[in-house]
Amino acid sequence: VVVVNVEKGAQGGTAEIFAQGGTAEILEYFHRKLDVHFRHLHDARQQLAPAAPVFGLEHDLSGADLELLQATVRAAVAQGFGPRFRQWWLPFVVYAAEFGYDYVGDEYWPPFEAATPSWRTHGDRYRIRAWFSKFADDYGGAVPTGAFAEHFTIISWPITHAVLPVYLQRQLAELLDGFRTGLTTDLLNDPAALGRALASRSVGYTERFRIFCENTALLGQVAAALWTGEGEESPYLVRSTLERIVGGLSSERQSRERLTRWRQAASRVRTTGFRSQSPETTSRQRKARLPSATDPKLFLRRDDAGWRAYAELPDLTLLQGRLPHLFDELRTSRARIAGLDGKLLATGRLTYPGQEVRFSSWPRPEVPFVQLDRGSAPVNALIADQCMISPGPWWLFRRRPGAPATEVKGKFVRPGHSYCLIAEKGTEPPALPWISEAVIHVDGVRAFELAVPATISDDEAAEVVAAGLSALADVVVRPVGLVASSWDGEGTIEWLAGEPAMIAISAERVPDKCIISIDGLLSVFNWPPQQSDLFLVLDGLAVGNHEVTATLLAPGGGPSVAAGTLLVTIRDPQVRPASATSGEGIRLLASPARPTLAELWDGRATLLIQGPPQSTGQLSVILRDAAGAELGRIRRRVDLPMSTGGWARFARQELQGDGLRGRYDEAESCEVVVSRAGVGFASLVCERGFRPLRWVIVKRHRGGHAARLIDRTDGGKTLVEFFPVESPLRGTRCTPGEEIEAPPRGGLLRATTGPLEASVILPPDPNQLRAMRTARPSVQVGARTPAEVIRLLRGHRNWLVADLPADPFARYQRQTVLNAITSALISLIAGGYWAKFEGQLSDDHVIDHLDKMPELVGIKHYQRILAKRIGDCLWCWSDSAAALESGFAEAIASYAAHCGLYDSAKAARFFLKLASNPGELMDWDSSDRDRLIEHAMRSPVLVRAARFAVLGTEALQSGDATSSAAGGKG
Amino acid sequence: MNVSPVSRTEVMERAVKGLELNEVVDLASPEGACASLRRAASFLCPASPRQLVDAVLDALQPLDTSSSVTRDSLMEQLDLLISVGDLLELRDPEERETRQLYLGPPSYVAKTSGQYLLLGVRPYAAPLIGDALGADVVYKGHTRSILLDAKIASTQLDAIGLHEIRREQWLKAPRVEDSAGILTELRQRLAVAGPSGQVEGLTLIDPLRPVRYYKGRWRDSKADDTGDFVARRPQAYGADLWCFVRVQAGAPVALIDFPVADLTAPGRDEAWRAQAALDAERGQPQVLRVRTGGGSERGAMLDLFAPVPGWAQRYLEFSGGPVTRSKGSLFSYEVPAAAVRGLAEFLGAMLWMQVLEEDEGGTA
Repeated sequence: VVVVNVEKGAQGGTAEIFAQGGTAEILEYFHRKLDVHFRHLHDARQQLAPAAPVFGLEHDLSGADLELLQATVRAAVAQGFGPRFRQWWLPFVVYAAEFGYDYVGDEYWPPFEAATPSWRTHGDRYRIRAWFSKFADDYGGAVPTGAFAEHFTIISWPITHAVLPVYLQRQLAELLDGFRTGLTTDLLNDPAALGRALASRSVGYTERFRIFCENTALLGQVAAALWTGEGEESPYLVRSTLERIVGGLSSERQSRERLTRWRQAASRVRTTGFRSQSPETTSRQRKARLPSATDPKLFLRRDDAGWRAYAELPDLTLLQGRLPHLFDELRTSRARIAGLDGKLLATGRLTYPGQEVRFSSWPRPEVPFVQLDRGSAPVNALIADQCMISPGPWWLFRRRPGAPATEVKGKFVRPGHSYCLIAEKGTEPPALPWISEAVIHVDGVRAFELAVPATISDDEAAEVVAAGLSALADVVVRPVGLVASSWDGEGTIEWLAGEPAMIAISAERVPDKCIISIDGLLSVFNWPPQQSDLFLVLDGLAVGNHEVTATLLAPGGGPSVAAGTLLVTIRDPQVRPASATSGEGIRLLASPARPTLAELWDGRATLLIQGPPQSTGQLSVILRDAAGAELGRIRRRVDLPMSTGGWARFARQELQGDGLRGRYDEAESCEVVVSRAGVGFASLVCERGFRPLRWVIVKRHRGGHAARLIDRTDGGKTLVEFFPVESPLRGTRCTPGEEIEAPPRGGLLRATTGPLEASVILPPDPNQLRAMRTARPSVQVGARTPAEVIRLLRGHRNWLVADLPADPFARYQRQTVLNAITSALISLIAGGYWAKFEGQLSDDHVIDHLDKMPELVGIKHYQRILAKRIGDCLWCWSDSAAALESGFAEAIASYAAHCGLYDSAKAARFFLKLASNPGELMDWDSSDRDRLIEHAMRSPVLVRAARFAVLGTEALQSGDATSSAAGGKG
Repeated sequence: MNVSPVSRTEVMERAVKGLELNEVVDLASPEGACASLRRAASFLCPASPRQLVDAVLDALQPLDTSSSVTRDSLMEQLDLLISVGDLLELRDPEERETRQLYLGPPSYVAKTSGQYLLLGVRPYAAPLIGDALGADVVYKGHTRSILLDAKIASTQLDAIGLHEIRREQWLKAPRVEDSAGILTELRQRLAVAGPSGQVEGLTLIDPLRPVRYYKGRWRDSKADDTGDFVARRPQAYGADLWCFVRVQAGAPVALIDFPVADLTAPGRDEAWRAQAALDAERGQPQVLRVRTGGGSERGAMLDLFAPVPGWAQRYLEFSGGPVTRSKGSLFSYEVPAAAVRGLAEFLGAMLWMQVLEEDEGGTA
């Protein structure tokens, strides 16, 4: 059969054609047609610099043609999917890409199978992947990249070839709208750079959208294509595909308006030629590093006792475009800030810019200002490079009434202004009568107050310059008209991209001409007659750092009379996070940042709510399903501000309460909202997370529970193991895909495939449990070796990180297991006496053994002193984990140094963690951890001391430590 | 990249455009100054009032040849922005003694059906409305409003992240009390307050100076001062602290800080009401001048000579709109004639104001 008129065939009766045995012929027809089309596209895209990929969705078929193609593919599968069909493979690529377009972020294959009869019998997922791979080779097809492609080796292909699935379109419109003022011609002409710039701003979006944005090339091409006006061609997408995406975006009013604004902004940028030279090019020409938007802002405050120094922490998420996994590390890491004497910021806190820290010692410029505790080397290297304080030995701060003294990075003083000068110890300031030493409460530096007189003599100016500072008198270069996003009042300014950058140059003596140098490019202007100011507009400065120098020339071609410099940072426009900024009345901070639903529910994530002291606000928690429909909600009036402890109490009481507990397991996301009308509004969305493996717990009508694994990994190599509560480290294999019944005591289910894992606590059946005798988890322990310690740590971690269903009995069973493993681990390392003591603890209250524990720490003199010191401090340390950590570090410092552990803070963290939540040590740097384990085994006195400190403080907190013998400290 | 010289006028026009103001607005006008203050707040908050005013002065002074933008004028506009809720004065959670300015949340209040007062400031100079609604924001003095189809307005405003504040909530005022009752309570608090000791930088409102010249009433304490005063003292890094202070022979002996009743309200709200009570107690109540018959076709002009608490300010915004102040007054409002009586009764009951009615320059 030769199908001549496909359109007619589609309308007239495809079933008839298939019945005549025409399936293969129609496939051939479409294959040949698509081959010509895609080859043409490939050639055109190769002409672009850089070349752009072709997408399966760009088939350019009419609606009727597409329907026929889909019907033909279905027929081919139903007829056995044999070689005579498979040789015409391009229609299958189009068919799979079309499913990717309608993909809603849940599961790809179930709807595919439902719409493709007999696929389960005859279909072959790997063949689909092979065809997409061939499409990439033969037609320059897009190749999936990023973490999504690594985890989803098959479905990442059709989803990538769907360009922009419908469910992500609304978020793309929002992202583009927020970025429109940052557009430049350079970005519009360079989709790769545009994609990187957009990706760096995606951190506030859903996890699924962030995954899409990881493919920065695709993101940039779609964004560049979308600015094309109606009816215009885009070099990156065929018109039909572009119109389809625009149509999808336009179906929702708000997205349509956002897209319109994006197009208007792009059109404006195109017509005004908003082009700039690359700052990278010129920055290479300059020796000195210019200030960056990601540098900390240093400032000083003075109280009755003297000066104190602070830093406002920057928004490091701006660096996201450079390293895609940066945000994940920022989200889950604690950070070490120079000058805080080893104190760490809470987990994820660096993702909330604008926080203040107070220095106890002055940060050294040669030491990275911010480092993530156990962060990866590339991330820490990037942060170290992009977040720096200015070089010493002087740091100059301008004093203004009613405001903190802010750093003058250009280090120049002006007549009539007041400053505070910070100097490294051993550095002497200029010997001038208007400089006097002041008190500063920061180690390592001295402070001097400068009251610069209205006129400075040449000798005084020379003294200032000789000391390495500058004195400016004759020219002022400053922003004018619009308040800049940051301005130190002297010479360092920050503007938002897309805003008019206007400066005024003021001269003491009217010059003849002014030479402006921007990153080395010179322009000469006549000075306006009879005016003391020259106003200039700087259009098109690219995002980045620039140096603007104004040199004033005397009349008659004489020498320059003055010169002034402005250090300029142009930064991307910022978007308000839903959790609010430090300038708002109410703010919500999570630790880790952007926690998952599970982390929030089982207490691994904590929230801190900032708000006006001694006021109240409304706190709502809303559970939603995958479609965003509300499943349950609670609303409570709470006192503001709310500490992390306050949140923990709220969560214990309310999240497990009747209002939400019953809906948790079916929820896909949770929104926490805190508000007070007229004061502030902040919210946080915690998603279940886009996980390749996910357990779903089902409650049986007859009592008890079962679990089902959703496996989206394509691979079919998933290993499923069950660990019963009775023997929590001994797993048995289960069959993937089958529903698993929970035994009466419950247990742990763990699914793994390659580096991916998902685990969940199977709840016990409380009715059956009540009828059974109490049984302690049996933790089998092997020989006292580091390998055995690691095995126990890993076992503890498996239970610790498992998702908890909304079931209080599951929580209890897990804690019981964690306690048992911790106790077994400590018994293994700490020695016989302490092991015997651990055995008694399971039956008695810890509080009853507080007196006995010091002597078990050790009997040697120094061990007794250490134990006594710990015993004396338990009350103080029971206030907070931070108090315990810093106090214990101090207590063990000399003994730890004697053992070769010179970083007592790190040693304290390790031993306290070992004695409380040992599983968390699996996230430590392995070389650090293994070295400390060997120390612990060689000299277990620190293990016993840490266990004493952990048990003792918890006993004092609760009065009864039996139920929390290995609780959450450390 | 392009560098080009521009005139002073062009800089101002570009700035007005950058502030998303109507192009006929002058950068140095109250509307322009308020827009600049909001913009400065969006970057700098939490900040002291001084920081915001300095930031705006830095940007405007090189352009202001007529010296119309002064620290005092900006401070007055800033006070009005705090009164309506564009900015909030709150205690610093860390340094509880310090009060700083924060951004009011993006919100709206229905003034009439279809007319909405816009409140709050978004961070990072993001426009409150932008062009999303296809309607222009009307700037009048320190206020912003928008006209929308009442049937869909709340949906439209909610969609762009503005939260509705109910009218009753926005206009909520303290209970009606007589001036003596207010002062009795404050004096009871003073009686049990500990000794104040020396108070650095204290300035007070002289009750003997004319109530129609607010600025002229402020002075340092003198050796012959004895009595209870409304006063304020500067903070190194925050808003001035307002207080009620007992002075003997020029030296403070006891002091209580405002606010006392509502800790989320600015201290000056209670301070100004206390001063109104002190003035009323002395038989020199503060003045509300009502001008009718001239200038306006439909309404009356109200002149006030002393600042009023935020809840009274909001009542004024709700009833009318700010206009260029008349000579000698601190601020002026135009209100519909029908609203005058209610306003006068409200200010009389809450702040014990004396109403002076004038018709085309003659006192009735």
